[in-house]
Amino acid sequence: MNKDFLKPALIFAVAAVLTGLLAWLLPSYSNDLFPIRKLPWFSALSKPSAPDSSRVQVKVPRQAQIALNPFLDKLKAMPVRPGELPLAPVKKDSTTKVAPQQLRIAYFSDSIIEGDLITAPLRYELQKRYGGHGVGMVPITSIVAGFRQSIRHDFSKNWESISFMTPDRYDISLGITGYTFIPRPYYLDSRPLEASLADSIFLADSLKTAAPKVEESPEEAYRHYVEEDPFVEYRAVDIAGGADSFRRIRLFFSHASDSSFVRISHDSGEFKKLLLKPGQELQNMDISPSQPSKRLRLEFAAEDSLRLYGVSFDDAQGIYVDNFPIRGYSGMYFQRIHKAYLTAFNQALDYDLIVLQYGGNITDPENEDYRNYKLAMIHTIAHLKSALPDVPILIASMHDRAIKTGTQFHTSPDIPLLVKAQSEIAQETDCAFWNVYEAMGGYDSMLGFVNQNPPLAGSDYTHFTRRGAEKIASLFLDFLREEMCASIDIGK
Amino acid sequence: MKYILEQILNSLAYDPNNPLLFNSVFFLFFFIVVSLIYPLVVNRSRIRVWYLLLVSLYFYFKTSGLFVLLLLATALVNFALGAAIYKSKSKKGRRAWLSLSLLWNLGSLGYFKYTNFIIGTINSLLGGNLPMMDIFLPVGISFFTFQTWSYTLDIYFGKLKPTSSFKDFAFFVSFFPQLVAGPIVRASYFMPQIHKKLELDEETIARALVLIFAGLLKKGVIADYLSINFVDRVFESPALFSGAEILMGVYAYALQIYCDFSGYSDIAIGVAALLGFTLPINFNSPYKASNITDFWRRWHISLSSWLRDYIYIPLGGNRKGKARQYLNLMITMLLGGLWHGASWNFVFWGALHAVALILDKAWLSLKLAHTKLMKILGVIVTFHFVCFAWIFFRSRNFETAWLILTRIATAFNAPLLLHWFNNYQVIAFLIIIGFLAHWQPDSWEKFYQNAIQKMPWPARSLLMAAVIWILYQSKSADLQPFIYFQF
Repeated sequence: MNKDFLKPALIFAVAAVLTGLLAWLLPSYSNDLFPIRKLPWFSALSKPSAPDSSRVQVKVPRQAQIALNPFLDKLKAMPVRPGELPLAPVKKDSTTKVAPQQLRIAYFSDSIIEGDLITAPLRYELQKRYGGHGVGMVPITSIVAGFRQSIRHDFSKNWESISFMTPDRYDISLGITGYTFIPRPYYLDSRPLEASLADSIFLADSLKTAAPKVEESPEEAYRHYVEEDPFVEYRAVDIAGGADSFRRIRLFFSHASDSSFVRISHDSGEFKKLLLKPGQELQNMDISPSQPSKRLRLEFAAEDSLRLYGVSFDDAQGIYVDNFPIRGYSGMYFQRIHKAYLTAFNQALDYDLIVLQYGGNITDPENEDYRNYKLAMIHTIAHLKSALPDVPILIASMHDRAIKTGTQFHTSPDIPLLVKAQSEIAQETDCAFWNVYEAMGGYDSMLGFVNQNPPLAGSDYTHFTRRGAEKIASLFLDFLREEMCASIDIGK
Repeated sequence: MKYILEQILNSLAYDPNNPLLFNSVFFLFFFIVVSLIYPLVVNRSRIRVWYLLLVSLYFYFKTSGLFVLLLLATALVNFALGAAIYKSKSKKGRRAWLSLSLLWNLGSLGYFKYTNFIIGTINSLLGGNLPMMDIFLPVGISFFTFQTWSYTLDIYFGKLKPTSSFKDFAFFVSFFPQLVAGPIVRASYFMPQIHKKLELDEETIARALVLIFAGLLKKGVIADYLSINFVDRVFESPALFSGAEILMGVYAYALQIYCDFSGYSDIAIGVAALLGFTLPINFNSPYKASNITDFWRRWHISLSSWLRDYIYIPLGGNRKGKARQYLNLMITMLLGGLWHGASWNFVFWGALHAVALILDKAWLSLKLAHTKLMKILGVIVTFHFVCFAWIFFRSRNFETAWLILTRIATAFNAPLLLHWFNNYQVIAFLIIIGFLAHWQPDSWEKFYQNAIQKMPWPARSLLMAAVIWILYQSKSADLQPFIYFQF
């Protein structure tokens, strides 16, 4: 025996015991920056108790999706492109009189659909079967323009953008995209989003409690003046979910003055200056090219009262899916799109379905009670319904999201509760409901998404990758397919 | 009690989802058990070799399951070919045997590592649609293949006599500390130690503990925390980040890959030292390099010297004129790039470094290059060049790499940096601490070593326990939420 070589064994063995001592002595300490956790050393040896089943399964009864029927009926009646099959094998219903020319879906969500994720593959699959040419409504500026592949989107810096996440400017109605854009001779410094502040303001509004005070931001200090006139430029991209050219183009704006104008150039051709119709009401101006074009550039005056909302790229026929991501948004205050504007947008765009896929910005592992969220959502859906009484709404639930439990990842304990709350919202507001959490595979399904190769979700166990978003889109189509078949059975 | 026994037995089996890592609890107990028995066998070299061989084979089984057979097969083939090369009288015969070893080593490495890369390249060049194959890459194959290969090559070049004992050779190939992630140890370096009388003095223990503690913190705290909480996200979708954040991500990645790689090597060297074996140093504060040539003398030294001795010099090195030297450098670095992974990104990364090395040769011939000021500037420039090249190394494809560069150039958004520091305090802290630790004077290492050497041994255990506790805090830390910037 060589005693020298016993030393490492002793050092390590005693270290293992001392770790147990440290684990026992050192308490956990919660703080915002870096919470200290109790180390389960010897306690890891004892048998863990099985996870609470109520925390694993969502007891959501399957809901009859009556609310979805008007949309499904139209989808069934949509003419199918030659050589393609419809989404579900349905017989043409004799009760449907005229086949609709166009179907349009407004897909509202948060950062999980940024860059046309989920909506691009959805649009591709639907347009492949039922036709349609164009990506639908696109905002003027976007924080994720570079990430989006279905359209190339460039713009100048000098636009003020107001969104659900802007803590003030409540008097200015947002557009259907969730944004209002104002041309400016300057741009502002970037700031981190204070989602929780925005949430608490509007939650207070819904619940009729006192709102927290918003500090006036010394905006002047962050302004950088520029010489150039604000512009936006779109280029068609011929990939799945995109379109090779622009056919019908409509510009949405309001608050034009008598002198407000836009300079338009198609395919880098000469600029044409058009005056904008003055007035506070929402206007949409057809600025389609005479021939399908690949490039559109719009220029505005920097000093103008004008408010812009977006540009719609579509055609008279087919299916359109509008991608409306609002980063950091919980979905609780659509009141910021004022009723008159919502109605006016719908008159122009004629929506057949609204999808609300939210939850990612409200989920909190420690939350056990989503009653306030539920109240606020019911409140905001009532607003949507009063403005758009004929448009069915589909609530897509929170998807699975994992957090660390000890050193391992598991579904955040609040997710089943949140999904349940969302299903109740759907029931109480007569909306349709799609359980994304169950569709993904339920408890811990996010782990499978992250561990796939290539991965379907990012290492934050929250956001989908492009491939993962395709998977969610195909799950959504499965859901529609099932509902199409189910509603036939009911019809019989 | 029954439950505990069951758990222990379960944990001994191979679990593809839980590979055996140095910074795992399993490894701690594995090493305690191995080192408790070791003093009984260490003085009798025959039993010692058998013991460590079996322990190492189990280690590889626990990491890679039945690929342990591949490890043994590779060892056997190179062992036999080494003997054949040595016995062969004619140059032609030696060449033939060497070609066979080339075929086997490149063949096995090629099959497991590069099949899908080749299929993918053919598909994109010819527009074909050959299906990808479902090949599982055995852990550490790049390391142990190069290690066994050095054996036949050394014999061929007349630098080494083959060993007559397959057991010794298999032990050299499979020795668990360096098996899966280096250093790549040469036979000529390691084989003489196999039957030596082994000793373990206080100084060695202290040095080993410094390496192990530093390695664990580098790998388990800095590298793992930075990658999952920040770096992965930036490289996954750079379009979602401003240039300023991306630049932070690139710096963080430079630190992460260094901590990951060198941390693992450090632990390997430390663990081997505690068993009485010396492994060569693998990383020598690479970001202190004042030029690229210097960088490659400090970064993954066991690989760069392998490439130098077995590719660059046999190609002719610098002995056949400038043009040939540059070509040789290029070939060596392209292959070196490809060694890191099966993708054109790695090849391009190698090419970037080759070009830099060639330019470096010209630069270093100037007197100006050797002034103090230029050396300090050289550290900054070299570091940034290496970071630039890492962008291609880390990005999934060229498109992503290009996007990263354009966003840094066109959407930098400097005012965000302040917010970034505010919102990513832990990340920023780790980056700063990591680089400060990296740039500390070399002499400080000796200071830590002396401190540990003077400690009574229970204090060392307590230090180890503290490191384990810190590792757990890092591993169990909540994911840093995405910080949304409005821009």
